[in-house]
Amino acid sequence: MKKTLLVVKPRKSTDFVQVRQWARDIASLLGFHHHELTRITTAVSEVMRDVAQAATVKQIEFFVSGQSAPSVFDIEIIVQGTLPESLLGRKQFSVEGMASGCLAAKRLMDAFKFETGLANESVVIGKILPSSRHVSESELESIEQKIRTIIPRDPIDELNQQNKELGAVLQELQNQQEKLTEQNTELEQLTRELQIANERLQEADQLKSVFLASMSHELRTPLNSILGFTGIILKGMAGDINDEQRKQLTMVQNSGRHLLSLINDVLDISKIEAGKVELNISTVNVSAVAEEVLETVRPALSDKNIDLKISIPADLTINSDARRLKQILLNLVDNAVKFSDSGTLIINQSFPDAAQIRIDVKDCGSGIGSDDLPKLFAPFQQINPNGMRGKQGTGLGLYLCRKLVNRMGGEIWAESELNKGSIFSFVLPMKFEDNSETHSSRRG
Amino acid sequence: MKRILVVEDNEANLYLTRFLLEKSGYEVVAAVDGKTAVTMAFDSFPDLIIMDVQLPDMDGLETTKLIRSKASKVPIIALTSYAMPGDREDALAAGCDGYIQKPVNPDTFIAEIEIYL
Repeated sequence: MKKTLLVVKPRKSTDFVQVRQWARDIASLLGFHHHELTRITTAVSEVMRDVAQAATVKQIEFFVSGQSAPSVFDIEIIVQGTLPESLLGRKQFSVEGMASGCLAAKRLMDAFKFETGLANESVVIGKILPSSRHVSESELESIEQKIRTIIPRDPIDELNQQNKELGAVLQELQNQQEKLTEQNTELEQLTRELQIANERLQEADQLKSVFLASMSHELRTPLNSILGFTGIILKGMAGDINDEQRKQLTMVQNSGRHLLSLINDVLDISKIEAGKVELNISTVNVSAVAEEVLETVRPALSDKNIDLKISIPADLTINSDARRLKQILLNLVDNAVKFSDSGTLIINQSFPDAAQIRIDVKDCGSGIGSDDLPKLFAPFQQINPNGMRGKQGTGLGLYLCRKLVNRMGGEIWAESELNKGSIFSFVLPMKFEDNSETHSSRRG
Repeated sequence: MKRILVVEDNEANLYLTRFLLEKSGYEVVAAVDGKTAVTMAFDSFPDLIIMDVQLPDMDGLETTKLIRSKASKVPIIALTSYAMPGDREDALAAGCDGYIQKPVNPDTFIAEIEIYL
């Protein structure tokens, strides 16, 4: 079976340009894809070049052959007279001496042959259809219809088409360029907005600090008279009071003190978080700090029949902030006292390495479950171990300790076992070096 | 009897300070703003001034500076509920002799002020 799809008779040399495009169009209609299309069109160009050099091309015929699968797409280039020796090579059925274009076509296509007709000779190149399929007569009819609508075209059209495609590519490039410029502008705008937002945030942060400072002041002013007068009345300075009045006033005093420590902790934390804690670094006698802590908690110790043992050499000094060290240690000892009913608390010291000091505060409380350990240093997390309900605290103490220890270049953690007490430990550098960015304008 | 000028705008706190001082046998005169305080620092011949830092017109530190600029050497103790770093230094730089942080502790307050008398 042979179904002719298109016959063209080139009249001028520009028609050869078209042959390539026709081959591509028809191959595309037959279902060939990218690589195959390129192979076919390249083969056509190569053969055409050779043939046109050696002889006069009479006509080109595009057809599909093959009775059953697979069908083959053939392109026959018919010349006037005979094909010259220079084209065919010395032996017709061998590649020896064959012109280079024909050799290339032979490699690119599935079939390549020279045919000798009565009046004409021709070169036929063929490509098996994709998936080795067979196309029916009716399918070929419709393809032929389609070909009629697109071919023949003038070579100028072809050039115009290529021009148009180039133009489209250029346009596309230009569009992309414009889009990039647009995105650049948007980016610049975003950067500006971010800068403004950043400045506003810094302002807001500043406002927050000022707000907290005045809040703290405003809250402490009434607390001054609340705590002052309760103290005066409890001391009997304003006259005698009965036991019930004393009991209730003591509750007022405790609540007032609790409120005061909440205010202080919130203020401290906000300062740390704003990077506004300035450390006062000096030579610190660690055991002297521990003794001060002991003095502070002494009343609570005797109330509960608890001993506090400090085992720190009297001459041990580190380079740190004495007030903050006391604050941390007092917080831990205060907790230890709070959660112990009787027994001995120990403040211990050791050296993990030459550059660090470690301090342990060991209590004899009921211990902390492993589930609760990670929550200890988070804000407003109060853990109530067995029978330890209602222990007053701000829920900020350990969080503040962690913030302070970190600020001072150290780490804090806790180890505990239920019913066996807890050990709160922290390490600090022997010699503090400030790596904080408190006063730096560097941005992350 | 030693006379103490208390500069305090909060009524309850003024009463508290006055109560503690009078209980300990001091004579108390009071000013509720900075301007009055400056006048009284000279007119009422106090032996000591207890100066609240936050006042309605000018603050306690401004007031202290003004009193010092008029060559008064009367001891001045700043009494404040501010607790920002540098407050103590600011108070001393303004010419205060001491600094007591609120809330006032009735147990120790008198002993603290008597250091400066």
